[in-house]
Amino acid sequence: MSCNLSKAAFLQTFRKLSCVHSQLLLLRGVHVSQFKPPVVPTDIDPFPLFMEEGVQTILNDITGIDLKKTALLQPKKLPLKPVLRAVPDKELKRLQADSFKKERSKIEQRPPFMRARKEISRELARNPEIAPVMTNNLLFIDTSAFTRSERANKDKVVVVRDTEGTLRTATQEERDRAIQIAFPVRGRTIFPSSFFKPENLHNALQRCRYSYVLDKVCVQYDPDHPEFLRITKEIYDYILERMEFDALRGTRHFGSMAFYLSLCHREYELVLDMLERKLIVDVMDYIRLHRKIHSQEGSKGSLSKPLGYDKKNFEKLMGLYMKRITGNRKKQAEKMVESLLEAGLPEIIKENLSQRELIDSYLKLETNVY
Amino acid sequence: MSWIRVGFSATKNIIGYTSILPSTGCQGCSTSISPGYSLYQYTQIQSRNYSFVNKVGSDQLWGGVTSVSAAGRKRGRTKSVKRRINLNIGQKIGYGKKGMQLPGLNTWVLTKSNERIKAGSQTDEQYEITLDSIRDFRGSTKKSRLKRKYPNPLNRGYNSSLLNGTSLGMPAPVRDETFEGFDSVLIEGKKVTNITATEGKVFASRALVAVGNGNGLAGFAVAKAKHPEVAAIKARDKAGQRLMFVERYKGHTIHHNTHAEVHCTKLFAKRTYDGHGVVAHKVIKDLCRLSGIKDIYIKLEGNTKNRITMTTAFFNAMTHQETHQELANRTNMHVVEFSEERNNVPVVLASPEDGKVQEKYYGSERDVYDLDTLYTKGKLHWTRPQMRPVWERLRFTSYQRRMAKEFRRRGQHEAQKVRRLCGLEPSKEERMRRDEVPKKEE
Repeated sequence: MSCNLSKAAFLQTFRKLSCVHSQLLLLRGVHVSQFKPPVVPTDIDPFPLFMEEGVQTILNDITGIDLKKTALLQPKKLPLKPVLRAVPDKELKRLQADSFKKERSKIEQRPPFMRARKEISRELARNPEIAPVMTNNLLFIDTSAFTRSERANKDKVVVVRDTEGTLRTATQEERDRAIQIAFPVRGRTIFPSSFFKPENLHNALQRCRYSYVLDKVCVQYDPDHPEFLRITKEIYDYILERMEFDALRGTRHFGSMAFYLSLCHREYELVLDMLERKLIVDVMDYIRLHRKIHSQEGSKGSLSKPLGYDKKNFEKLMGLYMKRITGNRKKQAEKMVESLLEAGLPEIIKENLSQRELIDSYLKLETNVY
Repeated sequence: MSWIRVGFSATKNIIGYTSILPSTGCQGCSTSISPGYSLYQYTQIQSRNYSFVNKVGSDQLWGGVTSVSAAGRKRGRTKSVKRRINLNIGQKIGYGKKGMQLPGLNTWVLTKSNERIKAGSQTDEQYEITLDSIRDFRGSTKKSRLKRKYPNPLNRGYNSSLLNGTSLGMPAPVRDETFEGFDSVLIEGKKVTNITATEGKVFASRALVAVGNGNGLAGFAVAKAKHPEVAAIKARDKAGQRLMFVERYKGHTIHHNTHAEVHCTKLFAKRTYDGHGVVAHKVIKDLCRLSGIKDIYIKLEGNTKNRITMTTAFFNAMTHQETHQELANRTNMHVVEFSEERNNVPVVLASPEDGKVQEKYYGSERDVYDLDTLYTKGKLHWTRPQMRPVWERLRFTSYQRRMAKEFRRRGQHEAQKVRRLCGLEPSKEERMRRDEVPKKEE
């Protein structure tokens, strides 16, 4: 036990941790190690890159669809009666395809990775002569036509008349509150709950409820909100430190996380994790994405054409990738690749591809017809 | 003076009685009774010191007071009759007013140094006081009949006075087979009669006992004997040899909704979700516990008083289930579960073992293979919809007025909690300050 905690505190935290990996980390005392949190580069604008179609398809493919994960028991307020049915083969496939499609549409709604929004301060008019009449600030919202609540924050005009008599555009915080009152988003509160405070957030993370917290954050904040960026970064760093990428695989947050890691040049851990799980095709896609993000042309540069997924191309790609990394990491990666070659690389690739084809075949099935 | 006249014509006993009086009589009236002394001096006093008290035993004496005739007993006069009093209470041989030392009776014969203890005398003041207190205590407490001891609510059965619903332990071992982990419940103990030609009405007792290990094995039996406890044990051992296997889905509920009918008793069983619990008749709750079913809803209809038909109906329903695997094999289709808790993802519970799966639905099969009504001949157990109160249904004006009045306050308790979390709820002092009415300036 080489950590700095006292015995009682150690036991308390150990019991709280539900994942084996974090427990091991605690035992090793790694939580006090020199983990350097990734730094987001300022020179790249991530949003247009993220929204590119090629990038999105890669992120979809990496995430995959895991029906076993979606079928895990989720506690509801009232336990609803399960329905039993006897169905023939074709009908079962249709039903499965239905849930595959639903799952994919959920995954496609991944929160975009954006820069933090800028503060607005624009004075429209100054009338100090009406100041004696003004007792409070007056806030005006354009409620002329209903827009979708997701878009409302961007479209609507919100204007404030000060007690000093100046007419100005509302600050971002004022906008948020005003628009939530006029066009309420379901599940969002005007004053954010104390759940998002760092101490409470840490408690939830210790129980490995990453996707649950991320879903909550997505409801409460817009993706360009500075608070959103802070919390998501905290969670992604937490996962990176513990190498628990598998907890998010199959959810809509996996793509965002992979993009963030690649943007901050911390893709190595994820690549290693994929190699460990024998997801060769995913590794090839992910490295392609990484090279695209950090190519000199930036968002203008196009994605390299997908090479054929075979042994030769994999070795070539890994060789190129290995040139950039150095030292201890390089040795580790080389060792992994060697062990994969011994295990029979072509068979693994074939298995990965068949897995993807299965998902694609389900997504192509027509679900409306019996 | 009456007592003088009595003195002349008195029997010898009464004379003996009167002779005592002057010596203990009150001195205040000595002047008035002085002429009596002259008479007393000349009468010859005969006294024979015996009474029937010495001749008759105490049991016989008490019998005169406490006994009730046979006719009286029939009419319930034993209730009102006096009870026997222990007159020797608190007394002990060897201990008395004079706290005498009697070696061998209340002290040791020898001391430690092997010297004989001599009988000594000393007064014991405490003796009389304790004796009095014992007698007083007896007088103060109300003499009542024997009270029935009520068993602990956890140990007793359906009823505190009867044995029904209590556990009888595990059945007796048969050869080398022991019933470890089994428990039994006496469901019904009853007095039954048979009228014979020679003896008339002959009573016997009948017992219905169910046994089970709480893990799929259960059984029941009926037995008769002259004594109720003997009948219960007889039935318990019999039930141990008539065990049945009860199929369960994931060890907590049944596979599908079923029904069973025995004579006039109808039983409808519904499968429920994990954590629902057993909702049933008290007897069937016990049967579910013994057979290991944790979540079920059972409704009884028709004759709900006959416990034998009830138990047979229960076991009929439980043993005639079709498992999902059997259903899949029979129909050549997959058995699939949908639930909102699992995001409505189709979870395949069973598929045909031989691998020959039916391609598609044929004809009207789609309607038939709804598992809720498949085993109840297309019928569902009808439940009466819950009725809202009259004032709500007919929208009484008084009710509407009340709702309008409460409109502002409704849901404020929850909202207050949220405000407190966000730090928006004013503190107590702040609220008091706010509520103070500002004084009007004159």
